[in-house]
Amino acid sequence: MWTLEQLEPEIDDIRARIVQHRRGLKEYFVARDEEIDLAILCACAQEPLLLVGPPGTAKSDLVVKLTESLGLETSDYFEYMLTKFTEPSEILGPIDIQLLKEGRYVRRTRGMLPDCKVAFLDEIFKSNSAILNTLLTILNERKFYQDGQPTPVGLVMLFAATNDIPDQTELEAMADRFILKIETRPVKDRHFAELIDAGVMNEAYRAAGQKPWARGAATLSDFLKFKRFMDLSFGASREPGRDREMWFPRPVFAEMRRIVRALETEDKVMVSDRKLVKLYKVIRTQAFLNHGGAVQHADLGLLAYVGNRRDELPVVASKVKALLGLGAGG
Amino acid sequence: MVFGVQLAGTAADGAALAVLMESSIGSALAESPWSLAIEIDGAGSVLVSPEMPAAWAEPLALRGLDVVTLTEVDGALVGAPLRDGHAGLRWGRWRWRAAPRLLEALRPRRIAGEPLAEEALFVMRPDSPGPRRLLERLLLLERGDAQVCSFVGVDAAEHGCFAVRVKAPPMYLLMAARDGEDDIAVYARAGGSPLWVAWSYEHPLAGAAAAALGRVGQVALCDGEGAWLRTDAQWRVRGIHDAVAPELVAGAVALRSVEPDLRFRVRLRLAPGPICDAELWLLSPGQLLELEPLIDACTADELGRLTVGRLTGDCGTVYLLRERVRPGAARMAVRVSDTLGVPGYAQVAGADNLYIPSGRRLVPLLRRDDLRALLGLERAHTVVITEDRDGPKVVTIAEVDEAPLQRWIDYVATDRRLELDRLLERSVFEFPEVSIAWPELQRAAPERAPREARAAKVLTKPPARIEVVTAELSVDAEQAAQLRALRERARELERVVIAGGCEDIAVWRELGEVKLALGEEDEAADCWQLALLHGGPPYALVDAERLVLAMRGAGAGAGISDDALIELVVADRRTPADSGRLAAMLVARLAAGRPPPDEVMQLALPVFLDPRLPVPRRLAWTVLAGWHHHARDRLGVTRAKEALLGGINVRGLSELHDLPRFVRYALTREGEEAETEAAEARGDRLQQGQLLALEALWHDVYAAGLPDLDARANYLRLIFAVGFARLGARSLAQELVAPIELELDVHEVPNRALFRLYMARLAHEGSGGTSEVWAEEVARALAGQREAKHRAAVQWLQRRSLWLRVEADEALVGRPTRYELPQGLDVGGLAEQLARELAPGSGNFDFILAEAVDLCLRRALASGSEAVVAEVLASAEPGLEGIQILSHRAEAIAACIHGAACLGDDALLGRLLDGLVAIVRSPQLASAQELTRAVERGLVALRRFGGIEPARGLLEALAGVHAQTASDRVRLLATVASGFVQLGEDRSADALLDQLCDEVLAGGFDYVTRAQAGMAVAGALRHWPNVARIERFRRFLAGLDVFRDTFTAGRYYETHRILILEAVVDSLADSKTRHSDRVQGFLDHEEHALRRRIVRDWGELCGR
Repeated sequence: MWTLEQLEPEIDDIRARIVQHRRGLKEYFVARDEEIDLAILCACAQEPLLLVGPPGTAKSDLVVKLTESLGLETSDYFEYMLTKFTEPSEILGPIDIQLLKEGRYVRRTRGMLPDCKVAFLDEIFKSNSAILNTLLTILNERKFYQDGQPTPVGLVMLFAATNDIPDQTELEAMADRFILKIETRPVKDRHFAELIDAGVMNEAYRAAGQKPWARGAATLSDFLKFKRFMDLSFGASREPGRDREMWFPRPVFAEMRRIVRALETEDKVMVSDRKLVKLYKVIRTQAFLNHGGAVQHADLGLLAYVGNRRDELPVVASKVKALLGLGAGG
Repeated sequence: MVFGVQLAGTAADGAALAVLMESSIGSALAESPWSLAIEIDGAGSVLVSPEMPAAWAEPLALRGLDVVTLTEVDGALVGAPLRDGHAGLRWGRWRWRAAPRLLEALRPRRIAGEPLAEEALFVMRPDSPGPRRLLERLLLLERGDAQVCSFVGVDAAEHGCFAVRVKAPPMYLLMAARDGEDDIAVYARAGGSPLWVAWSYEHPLAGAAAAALGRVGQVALCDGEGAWLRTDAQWRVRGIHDAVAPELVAGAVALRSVEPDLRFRVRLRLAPGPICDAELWLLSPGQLLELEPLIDACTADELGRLTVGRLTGDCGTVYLLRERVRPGAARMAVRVSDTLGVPGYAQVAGADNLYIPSGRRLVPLLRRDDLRALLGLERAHTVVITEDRDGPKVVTIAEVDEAPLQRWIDYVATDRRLELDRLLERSVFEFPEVSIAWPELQRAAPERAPREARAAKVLTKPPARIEVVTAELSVDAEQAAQLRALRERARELERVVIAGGCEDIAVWRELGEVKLALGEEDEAADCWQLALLHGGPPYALVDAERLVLAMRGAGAGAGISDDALIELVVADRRTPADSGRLAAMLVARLAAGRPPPDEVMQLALPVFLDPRLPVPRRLAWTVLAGWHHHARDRLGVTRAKEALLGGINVRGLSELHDLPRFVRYALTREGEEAETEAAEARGDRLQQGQLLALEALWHDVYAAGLPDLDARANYLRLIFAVGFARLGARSLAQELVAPIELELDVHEVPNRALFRLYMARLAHEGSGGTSEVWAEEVARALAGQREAKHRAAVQWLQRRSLWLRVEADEALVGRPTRYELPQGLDVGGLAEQLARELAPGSGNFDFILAEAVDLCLRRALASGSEAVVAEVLASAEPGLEGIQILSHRAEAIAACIHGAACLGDDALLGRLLDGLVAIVRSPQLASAQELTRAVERGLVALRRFGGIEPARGLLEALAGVHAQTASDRVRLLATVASGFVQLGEDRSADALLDQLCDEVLAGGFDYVTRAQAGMAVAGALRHWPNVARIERFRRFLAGLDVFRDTFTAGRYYETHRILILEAVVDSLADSKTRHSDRVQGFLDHEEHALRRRIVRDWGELCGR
């Protein structure tokens, strides 16, 4: 494991590479800057990201290109489309029959979700409760149970996509694990020609067996180091409130509090205690990634993605932008 | 020594202050000045009154108040408790505040968190940047409801202040103000209290303070430390928009409008459009002749809807053929276009006399006036835009003399036989010197006349129906007598078979021979087909050869060449006659013991397996059964059986192909010869008869008096006028509405609009416009109503009226099917799938279950496999009880009855019918609408599958059931009565219907039920003969006053009366239903017989 002293000399280079990586990835998409910014941020913070939108809005394409750009081994990436009939063995691995004969309930996880570093789960809310419960444990505690024993998972980044967020109580826990959710919308109305041009180029790349986006500036290792650096810097002061005082200016912090409170009271957006803490860390991570220092007013734009239900997402996004506009104007 | 009352700044202060206020000290000193020591680093405070003597302090302490003696020690304020057990105080930082009275001295208590505020007041200095930014933020948050006011004066701050009042204020702005942004103070209040307290604080004696302020007519703003700022109760508030002076920093550009001087040339062209039925065809003389097969197959009524006009121009002679669209009658466009091989032209919406190719549309869409000017529509009778490879071409027809197609037809002896028979017989006995030219009898072989020769006949105008010529030949009385004998024999035999289901081969053979002898080959072919069918394979050679002869096939029996067969089998396109001829020749070869080659049959079998092949199903089965019997192919015959039965299960038998023409004719003629029958009854089948009946009814109405300037009379006129227009009496219809046009302006606005709408309907009926055109008409009428209440009144009737409503209104009634079977599900898996859906705990809604049963059974029936149907029924039956909503259960039961009747499973049928009756009896039945639909469907299925006895049993059971509500009962009994009349149980049907009429007209029900019942009875009467209808409708008209209502629209018109009138006229002008009932009856019998034959043939070959 890297130490703060080891990471400090190279963190600026790492940051620059990730930013360049992000910029490079955007070239292969039309009007998906917002989604890519968020995906890179979640990759840095190792927080799961939920992409919500109708079919054909580049959800899968974005994740696939991002993972390809990281130059991952095949075994490090796991992708699956979930249905209500998907069984746990399809994503966690089949039961080892030999060990079962010996009375041990162990899954063969090679090449499956517990064994990979980056995962993409499509239609995540269509899965059944057995899978959802296992995923909750993996997301919360980064472990799953083998023969009754907790076993750590190597999952670093999780991306999920869905056409809709079902309004069911039993799915709220899973939805809450995704601190950030972004609604992907069709862009053809505003970028008709660009979309066709980019689509044709992508098809041409595919036909030629080329993946120019795979030459990303950053590697998975860079993302891991960045996350490690952020974790170490959060605990560096060893004093409650010190990180906030150093990196979160009071007016900006007050603004964040006002916005969160306004969303809770006026729009009934549920921001759990866990979510609030994670939001703080993600905002800090974004600030460090984007400008290498304290949180700025504009970094609070992340609050636009804290909505939980499908109908909340656009409302929250527009409200946060409006409120930030007020603050910025002030 | 200074005494003070210590307050902790918590909720407990409320009790302490209540004690203080109730004490004699509190009441005495409430209006005296007080001082307050305020803890700067905490929420505490100490109340001190200079007028409080030491003698008063002790009693207060005894009553539980924290009374302290205050001293300053080393720069700190120290409070020593007067009594033991109370904590003292020691504040390092504090300050004093003086207040004129006790309520104003109290320090508000801080509330944890950020409470929601009902109303907030943001107060700031007017000369600070605060007002501008706050107003800007409120406007950005779309809070234009905020109000502003300004204060100056003695008690307000010296510089005055600016305040913004907001109800349900944005939390963000409250918090921003509390955080000290822009030096804005924010206060909140609830329930319109005159005391505004700093937001997120509460005054410990808020109620008392508000009451005190109310008494003096003032409002106070209390800050976080308790300092009050008083104002008058009346604030001069303004809207937020009055307080802002918006400015836009932008350069100004001035443009002024001038008369447009540019006109752009836009090419009008034809583009692909929605497929719609054509109404008009432009035909060359050769194409007109090709109509003959259609004319052969058309009824007189259908022919009456086609008109022809002859046109000449640069391109020679052109015939204009037009279909007069009649509501309720099946369109003929597809048949005409198929026969001619040309698509035809359809009317352009909004332009009455403009036609474009069917399936095309004009682009771009022009205004109607522009279109008229461009194409000269005003000056022309009809304009047709045609197109070919050179592009569109405008054909302008200045005027055209159109005449019914019937007038262009020379009827030959095989048609209109009855008239000819009579004339023939009369001529033999009364006019011995006259001879009848009857070319068909004289011809030697059944060869068709050359087309050119017949063309002269067809196109001669005016035509002579029967060519009567004088000749010097002597009368062949023997031949005539023989002919008459043949006719009589044919009628006798027809009477035997007319009921349907005749399986006596001898009867069919004899009838076939008679028909052949009479030269009626097509009808003879029907007879020989039925003889072959009922004879079963192997077929008698003589029957097969007679069939070939009747169908004008090439060769006979074994003499039919392979080449002739191959030519027909491989043809790209076969007419129905070609297909029939092919079938006859194949059967003849099989019967002759010289079966067609395998390769021919490999091509021919799929042709006859196709359920859409336009030949009688009996003929298709005859071919298939004959071949498979010859080949001993059990699998083949099973497939053929399933294909045939599946097709029949889904579509039933076709009136066009499976109904022998003489049956249709006989059904139409039935009763004509009965001397006892009234003249009205004889006219029953004819449009003229309908017209006479409607005229008779109108006469009654007219005789009863139609006052002028009376909306009710106008509705009567309009409804009858639409009825007359439907029956083609347009001039009479116009006569009826003419008085309305004169007095239109004196009526109420909604009535005026509705009158116009009825008149538009009249024109619509006349022009035969499409539903889209009508929908546009209605939309225009509604858009013309400026006032909402008028529009609502117009729409109220328009949506309910039988004639004014548009398809979209009707679609509201319908319900889309929401259940879908899994993709790729095989018919073998239907039973399992259905069992899964019906299983307890599946969580399906009842309507989904009913749809699942229906869909699975339909799919099973379409498969033609009885085993599959039986499996699906076995899965469905146990789950029926699980459908809780009875109307949905009834639908599912009806679907099962269909399946069980198909299988002939009497035991299951009995159980299902019992289930249906039990539903009717159940008090939990919410509505009979679905139930009656289910009963009707069940009855149709029972009739189709030969279950006449179960159907009768069901009707009798339902007739005896007492439904829970009157409306359900009437609706159900009307259905039962219709069922009886369709089963031929006229007496039971009449008795039931009369009983219903009595009940409806007795006025015993509530208004709505009465109207619904009346409409149900009127609808049911369509199944009765005209004479029975008019008799009952006279009673309806006489008792029209019982159909009242209490709707809001009643100030303009009487909804129920109008709806009943429409139902009556609509039913009376309907000549289709009863005739189709009788035709359907024959087809039901035939289907049942064919089904049994198929199963028997299959069983014999497969050993079942």
